[in-house]
Amino acid sequence: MAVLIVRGPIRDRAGGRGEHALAGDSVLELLRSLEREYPALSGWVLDERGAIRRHINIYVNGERGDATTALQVRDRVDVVPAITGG
Amino acid sequence: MTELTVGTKKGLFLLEGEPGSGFSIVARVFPGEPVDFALRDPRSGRLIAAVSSPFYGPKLFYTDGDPTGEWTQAPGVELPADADAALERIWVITPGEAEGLVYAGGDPGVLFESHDGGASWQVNAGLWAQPSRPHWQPGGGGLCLHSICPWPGDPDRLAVAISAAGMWLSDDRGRSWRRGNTGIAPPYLPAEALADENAGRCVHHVERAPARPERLFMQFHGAVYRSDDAGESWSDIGAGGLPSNFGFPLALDPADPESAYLIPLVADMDRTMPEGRVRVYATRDAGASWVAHGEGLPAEHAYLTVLRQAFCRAGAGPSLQLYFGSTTGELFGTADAGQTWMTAAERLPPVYSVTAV
Repeated sequence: MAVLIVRGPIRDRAGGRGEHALAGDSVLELLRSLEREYPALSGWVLDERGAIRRHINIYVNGERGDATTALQVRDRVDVVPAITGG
Repeated sequence: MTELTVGTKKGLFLLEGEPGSGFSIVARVFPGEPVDFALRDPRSGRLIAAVSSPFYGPKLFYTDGDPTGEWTQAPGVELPADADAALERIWVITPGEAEGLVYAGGDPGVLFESHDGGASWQVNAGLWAQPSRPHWQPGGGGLCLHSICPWPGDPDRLAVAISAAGMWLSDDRGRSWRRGNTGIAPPYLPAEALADENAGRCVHHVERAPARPERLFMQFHGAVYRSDDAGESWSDIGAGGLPSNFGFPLALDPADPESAYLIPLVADMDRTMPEGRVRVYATRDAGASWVAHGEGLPAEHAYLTVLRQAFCRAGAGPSLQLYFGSTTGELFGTADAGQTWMTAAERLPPVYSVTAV
């Protein structure tokens, strides 16, 4: 299992927990697993097409990833809203 | 007492006050979040808000209780599976003419309908499936469905406006749609392009006159129009005293179908008040002539912008209330149909929408 780290309103809708151990071979599978577990998250990280929203960044073990990034057991996946502003 | 529901760039504000006197902020909710539109449905008392997080996408929330408490996210606010884009924004929410019926308009040119007072939503399939949709052109604010005009007492008849896909009319409760753009001549298009019905018709705001439902007024991108045949055709009414034909907001008096109110801006390339003076222009003769009203409004070096949903009305007739908010956070109101104005709030975040009950 990989570990998914969520923050802010995503954490609130994910049972109030910031860390989730989930099964999945890619970032997209991990995010879909989290949505299945917490339907209130539907539409928040993934849009209605199943794409990661434009201003959500994904880091896998500290490096930028995307929906297709392959995962290994114990990988850490951070879901981070884009930092905007000057 | 009048309640104002003010959507801003940084949250939803609720104000209460007596028409013509002061208003107080009684609640701020969704702090820090852009609230594009919000209203209290006068039929149910329910508050509905469109919140467009730049990170998590547009959502509709509602509450039947204390607005500072929990709000419920309404399901169904998403595009159909065949969409090649995600829902960008909700621009407007409008009560319909059947029990529990509420409409919402959004980008990309999508109409949502709710049959349970806003608790759940579905895409209007008839408008979504328009064969010409792939050819629709967005305006500067996106492909936004921003005006929804029910027909008082008849839920079958509906008109909506999309920037820049123009006017769309339905006589069967939204199952089928046809265009209503005859007479609209965009000043930014070459004459040869007018025959192309997909060339951009950049409608900015449309309202239907409740006392004469076949009459609608339209603020266009560089023109002002009126229709007396339910939106089938339009006549230019911008020649009679307006300082500019450009602007966004529009409000009507439900008691008088001859009256309309506009807040003109200089031009598309200078979206501020003409001469740096804040004035609301009123017609009492269906657009033949327009008169400026500015008593109590800033009259010097006031380069305000008022967005398309930031102008609303309550009441009717000589005691008609009008309220508008600016992108610089000021909120103004009148309780005598525009004769005199007062400041209802200052130093709010940029105002996106104002509704009143």
